[in-house]
Amino acid sequence: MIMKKLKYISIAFSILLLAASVIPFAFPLTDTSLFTGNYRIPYSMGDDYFLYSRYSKHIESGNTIPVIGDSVIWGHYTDSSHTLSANLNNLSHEFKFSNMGLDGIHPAAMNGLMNLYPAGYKKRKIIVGINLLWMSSPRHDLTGAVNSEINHKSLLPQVSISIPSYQPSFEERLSSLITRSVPVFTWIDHIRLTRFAEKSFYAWTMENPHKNVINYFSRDMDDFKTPPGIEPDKMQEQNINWVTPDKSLQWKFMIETLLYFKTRGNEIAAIITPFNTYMMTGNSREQYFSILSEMKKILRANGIIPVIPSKPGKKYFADSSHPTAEGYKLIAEDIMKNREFIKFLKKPQ
Amino acid sequence: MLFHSWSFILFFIAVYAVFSASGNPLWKRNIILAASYIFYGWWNPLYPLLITWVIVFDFTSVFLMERTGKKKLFLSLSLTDTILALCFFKYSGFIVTNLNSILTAAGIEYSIPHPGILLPVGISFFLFLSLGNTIDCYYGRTERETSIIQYASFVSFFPSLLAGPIERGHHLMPLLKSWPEITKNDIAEGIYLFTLGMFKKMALADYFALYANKIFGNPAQFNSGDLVAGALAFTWQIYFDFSGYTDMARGVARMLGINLVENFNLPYMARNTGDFWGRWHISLSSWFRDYLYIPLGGNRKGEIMETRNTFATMLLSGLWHGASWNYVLWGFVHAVIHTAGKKIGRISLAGKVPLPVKRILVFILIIFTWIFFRSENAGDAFMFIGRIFTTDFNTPQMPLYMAGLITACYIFQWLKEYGKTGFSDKPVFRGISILFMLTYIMVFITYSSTEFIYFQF
Repeated sequence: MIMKKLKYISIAFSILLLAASVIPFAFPLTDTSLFTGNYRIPYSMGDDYFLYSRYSKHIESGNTIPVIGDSVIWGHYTDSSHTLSANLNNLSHEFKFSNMGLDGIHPAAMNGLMNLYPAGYKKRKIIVGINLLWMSSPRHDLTGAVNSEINHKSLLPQVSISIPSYQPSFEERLSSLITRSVPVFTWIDHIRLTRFAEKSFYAWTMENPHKNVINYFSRDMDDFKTPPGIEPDKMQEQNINWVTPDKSLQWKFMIETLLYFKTRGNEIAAIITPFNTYMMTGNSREQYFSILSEMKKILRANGIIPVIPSKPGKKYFADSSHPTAEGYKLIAEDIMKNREFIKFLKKPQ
Repeated sequence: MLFHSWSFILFFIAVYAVFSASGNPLWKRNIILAASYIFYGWWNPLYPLLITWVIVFDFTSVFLMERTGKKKLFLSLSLTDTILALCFFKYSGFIVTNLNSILTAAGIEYSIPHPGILLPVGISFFLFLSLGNTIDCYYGRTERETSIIQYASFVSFFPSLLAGPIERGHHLMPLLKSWPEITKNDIAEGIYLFTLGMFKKMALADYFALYANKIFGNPAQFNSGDLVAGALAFTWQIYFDFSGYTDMARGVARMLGINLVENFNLPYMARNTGDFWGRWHISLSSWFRDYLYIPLGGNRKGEIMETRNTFATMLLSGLWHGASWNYVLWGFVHAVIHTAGKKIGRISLAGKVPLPVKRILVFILIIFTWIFFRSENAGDAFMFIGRIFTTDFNTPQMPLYMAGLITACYIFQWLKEYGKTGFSDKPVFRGISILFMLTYIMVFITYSSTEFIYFQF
């Protein structure tokens, strides 16, 4: 009886271990047929790194050029057919560019994403979007005061680098380290986000106390509604507390990511997406242009092609850094006129 | 470091590896003592100083009790030290708040500054454990421990350090001294208890807390149906929270070869309030019984003295739980119900009430007493109960799934009470239930290591 107890417990653990190691790979439950055209990771699945990883691998096996970046690349104020990559596709009359943007992902988190869930791009052309929003204050740069509301926290370095704004407890760090390194945990998150009604079952029952729990095991289509941007006449000038590239942590992470791609023999074009200078004071604007030229120099020095599109008019911005659908069109047109970019596109892959 | 956290799991694996590698009971004890200090210091590096003080003070008191023969003096010193430590760390804020209220009522404008002292986790538990041993030595019920290291390993034993069970010296100390051989059964039982405790805490208690917190957070907003359901949710939350913790503590200790005492025995199946206290937080109830109620005279000196002793024990038990009047009130309500129950029990008609009906009635009474325990203050508790009887009975917003779980838990307790759950001890059932519980936690629980309710006491 006693021996049997331990035997059955061992069997239980073995089954669990086996299932945890096999299921994420045998049953990824990801509809890869959706990864075509102007597909972008659905907004509500912004934390689904398993899905992102599957999408990356899909892109890696194809011929399109991944356009990696944050919500500006993802297209926060427009639908998937009017984003930057979609406009670039329209202008090149083929599906050449894949939207690999992820809402809210800042350079430090993106660096983690590329390291933790590597797509394995080798000798490819890659476009990376750089958004100066992440250097527009010590808070955004993660060099300011401790902030508990950082996006994509679990992707940040937990042990190797100290980030001033990110000071979680030991338990949180450990939990992030474990959950992101064990595939079954990211797979469970993926299932919750893609197949179930919400990430937390218990929270769902609290919100739907009298609904049949079976409803939890089904998911409605992504219900992202494009938010309205700021009206141009309501845009106000602000003084921006820029963090310069020599001091910026986000810039350090961005360069690290770009060099990571570079060392794998990839050709990189870095698009510094236009910032809404209409919402800046004169002094902030001056600093912005100085930062821009400094970044350009650093990128060139590292063998990365800097692409700086012209700034569209005020009405083509939805907020301080995101263009409107029309704005994306203008930016894409400008990029497609850039000689260096054209040269980059013509290179064989 | 909470039991259901990654930190603890890694800590325990490391400790267990070192522990298993040593064959000598003395080394085993030393390893666990060191682990206990690391475990307690993890919360706050200053806490080990506090527990060391308690260990040294009580060890010396017992030593001098024997050496000088002045038993009463050193027992009094140990008792004073315990009371002072509790007053300083636990009750100073409460005392100051009440003194300030008296000053205000007396028209004196001066107010004593709030001390703002941090309550060290587990203090009420290890102070009572150590004091209990001193009292046992005083009465000659247990032999004096001659090694301070041995005594330290008893007081600081990490599985039961933070929230019990409050062990007795004569039970735990000999085990820690000779350290029993770990059997396969210990490992199997330990893993099962730990998993069961984790399930009770994460899958049940924390879920019921979502609804209970909503209702108790603002009872004035809810009508009768929700208030009753909220009280019911808290009734099960506190049970699974504390019994889950105890299961994990017992599971950890069991894996180390130590069988800690039971702390719960289907409390919601009690047939009267006396029976309830024999089933709920057994180690604390028996502590109060043995070290307070009986020394006060128990039920041996007539009805009035028995009532006095019951009230004294219950009020102090309430105060032990927290430095707030609602805990005292909770103890008072229990004392009233207990005393009244005894009187009613003497009526011959009461004997004719079927046992299941008695169990249900006691359960309903217990639900009402938890309202005093959970409410922010006494006013809220009375308002909560008042609204149950004065507002319309609405359909509660409690999730159907939660209601289903509560019903299932209650049915299971009935089946267990009447010995119909023999299947749960079968090895296959154990294996399947571990598989089920871990899968359930992984798939349905969004990880968060919330603290246990009893840590605040």
